[in-house]
Amino acid sequence: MRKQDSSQRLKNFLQKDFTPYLVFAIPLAFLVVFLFWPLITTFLRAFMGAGAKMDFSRFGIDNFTKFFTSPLYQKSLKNSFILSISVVVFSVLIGVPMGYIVARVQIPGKKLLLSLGILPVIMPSFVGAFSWIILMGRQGVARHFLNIVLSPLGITIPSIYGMFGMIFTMTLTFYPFVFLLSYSSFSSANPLLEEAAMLMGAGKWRIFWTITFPLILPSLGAACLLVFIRSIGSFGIPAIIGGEEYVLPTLIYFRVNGFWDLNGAAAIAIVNVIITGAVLILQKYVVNKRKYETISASRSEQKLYSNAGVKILSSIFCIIILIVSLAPQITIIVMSFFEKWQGLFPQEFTLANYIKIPSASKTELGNSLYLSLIATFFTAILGSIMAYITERRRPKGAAILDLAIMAPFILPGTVIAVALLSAFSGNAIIPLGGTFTIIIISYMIRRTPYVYRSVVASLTQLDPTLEESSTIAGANWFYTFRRVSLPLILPGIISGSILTFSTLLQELSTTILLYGARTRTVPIQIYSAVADGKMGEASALSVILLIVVFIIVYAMNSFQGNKMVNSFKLG
Amino acid sequence: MKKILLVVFAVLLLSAPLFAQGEMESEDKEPTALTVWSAAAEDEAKALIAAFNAHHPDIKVDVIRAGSGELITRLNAEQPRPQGDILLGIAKETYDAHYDLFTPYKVANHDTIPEAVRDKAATPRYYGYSMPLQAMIVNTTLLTEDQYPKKWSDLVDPKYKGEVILANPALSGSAYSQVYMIYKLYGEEMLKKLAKNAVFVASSTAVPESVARGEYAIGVTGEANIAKYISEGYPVIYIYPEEGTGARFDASAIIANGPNLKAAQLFMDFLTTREAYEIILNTRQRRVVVDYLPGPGPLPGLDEIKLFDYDAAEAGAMRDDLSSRFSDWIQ
Repeated sequence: MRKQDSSQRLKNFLQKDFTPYLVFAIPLAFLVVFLFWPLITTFLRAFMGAGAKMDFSRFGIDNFTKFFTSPLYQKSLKNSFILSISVVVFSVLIGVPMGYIVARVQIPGKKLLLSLGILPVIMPSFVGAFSWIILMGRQGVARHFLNIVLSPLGITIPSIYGMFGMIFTMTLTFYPFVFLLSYSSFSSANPLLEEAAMLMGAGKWRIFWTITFPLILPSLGAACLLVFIRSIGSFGIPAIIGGEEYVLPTLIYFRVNGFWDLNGAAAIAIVNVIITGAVLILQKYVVNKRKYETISASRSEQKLYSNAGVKILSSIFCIIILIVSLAPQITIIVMSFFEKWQGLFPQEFTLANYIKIPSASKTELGNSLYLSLIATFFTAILGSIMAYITERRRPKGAAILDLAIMAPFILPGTVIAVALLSAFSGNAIIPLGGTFTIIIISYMIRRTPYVYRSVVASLTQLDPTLEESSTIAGANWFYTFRRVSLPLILPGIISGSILTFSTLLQELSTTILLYGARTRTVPIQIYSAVADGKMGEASALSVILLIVVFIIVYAMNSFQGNKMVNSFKLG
Repeated sequence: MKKILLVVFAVLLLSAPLFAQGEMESEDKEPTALTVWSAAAEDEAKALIAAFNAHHPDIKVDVIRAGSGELITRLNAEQPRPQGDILLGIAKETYDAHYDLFTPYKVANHDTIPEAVRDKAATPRYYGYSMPLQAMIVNTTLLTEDQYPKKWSDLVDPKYKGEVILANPALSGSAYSQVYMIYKLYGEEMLKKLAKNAVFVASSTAVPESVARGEYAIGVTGEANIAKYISEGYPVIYIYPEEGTGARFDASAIIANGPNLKAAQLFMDFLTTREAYEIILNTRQRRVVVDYLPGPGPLPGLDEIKLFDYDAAEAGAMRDDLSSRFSDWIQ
């Protein structure tokens, strides 16, 4: 009896469909080698004495005690909190109304608004921060003219340096996450619910607060989380605009570049990860507290406001926000046609910055496109499979997998690059130093969250019964995946890939530690030009990147409607 | 069929690293390749390499450009077999702090390089490259001539409060050297006053840039930055403090265990020639370490500048402690 039982079990085992396990094993192996290993070394480093060496004899928590003893660390921690929370609040105040307007008011040029709306996020931060100084610094041209206009009212605009300037510029950089995401929920929320409330005699505000707002809360929570992560991790804006208001990334930069103290930097980075982890849990708690009406497949037309007054006011609001938030991009386009910009106005008009691009940047442009494309392609595969595993199979430890995939998104690029270099250069078993491969791998592990989150979001909205019925009807796993799941999550994959590609095109912090002579990219060239004081050249190259990204995003918006914003979902 | 396709796909994904073309070291007699890690500006490095190639046309030279902090981070991370051969133009103190990562080599022109601007060892590990003296950059539209600061101690004058910009000493060796010099001259109390009077930013390029644009009136920076903004026509001038400025220098060295030792030695020989120093002097108007060449472009010669000994060893030993405490005073 017992024997028969076990042979039966063996038989069952052999008859099982192994394709999913094979498909899952390969990306998991990739993650173990290229993600877990760097994460573990980073974690261990944080507990070692100052320096760059992994030295187990100096194991301790010295790197962390600084947060209790040093006023510098405490002030920076406090600044990071104030900054990130303020940026989240202001992004909501700007982004939600804008999302509501574009979704619910009949205004022209929505596709353009949505495409331009994403551009502030994808600006190389060191060029962006500098153009804010050209505009709003003590000698800033915008500030100068605003002061002339406002002087009869007795108002003077302060210069941009300090906490206020950081909150201002960061909000204008990161609000698009809130704008695009709330736009997508406002436009896809089931209008029947609102109509029902209206029929029962509820006022407009009451409907908004009791029906519409709860409907967008999950997306809003995800957007806030993303804004929080991005602002607590940003170094470029605090370095240029912050003045003496240091934040955690400033400290990390000091430890790495001033003292070659990777271990100290790792400790600060881990504090950053812990804070973000706490916010992630808080966000999940707030969003999951209630059960929400999900977006249904069948939908009735949404009623758009067509009142002329509302239309005009809404358009003006959106245009003002868009122009102000795109001011750095406009500045850079202007600057790219000039030699320098030292006072109020740029000087010495020239086309030379563009004319030399084909000869001076051919390899770099090719490399940037090649590296970003290949990395995006593999990221799409990796991210979708991982999302499928955590969302559908829900293995034990899915939460750990989840956090591990998210961690490189939060950790500074330098820390990831160093972990990869230590593991895969020198006398390593797999020597990758100076190759295209090591850059592609670093891109993959740093950007997988975009595709991953996007696909997880698609899968949660997708009822598993569809897949179950396919299996019941006799299809094997692979057929089901290919014919049922994949087509349904494809928009999520595509939108995640777009974000991955656009942000990779401008990646600097990892690339600068990993690139070799053959693998130089455009952002490295921009960095070099900025360091050598050639702002015109740097601007022209940035404009080329902006144009590439804009074309792609506009094409995607035309092609697949608002699905693009799904990739921001982090819930 | 589809299954196979998927498996192939997945294998591709996993085997991506194997596509890496590991660069094979050639054991040829004549060197053919060289990788220079450069903290020096792009045009300067290019000019040097063009001149080097005129002598050694068969050596293909690649340049990796990054800041000195990034290059040292990379050098440490790539141990024990780094991908670079030469480290070009970073502060002398940095070499002292990572002495084992560089190979000793006595260059052909050894005798023309003063002992003060090279490694003191019999077979030196690094040779002087340029002399980034620290000086004050002053905006001439914001301050009139009688308002210019003259001494280091003027930086704590309350009338300049909010008008003085420096880089945080935790940021880099040269930013630290400015603070260390004032500490050596006047002691800790002066630094506490300085911390309150000046603004200490987290970006060293922001310092000369801000003064040139007129965002701040006074900055402390490397003199080459001042020369650059003067030559470009910005309303700025240099002021070498009356108390003197520390005699620091940037150096170059051969990276230990790099792939092309022989080419690296040839490059070091070249870097210490009169020809190379003239290129460094003229491309970006940077002061060089040899005394047979004049001061750069708009800047005065060494005979007009008061220098004092900069004890890089002591400065380095105090660095972590002093700059941490200093950062705390700023807060």
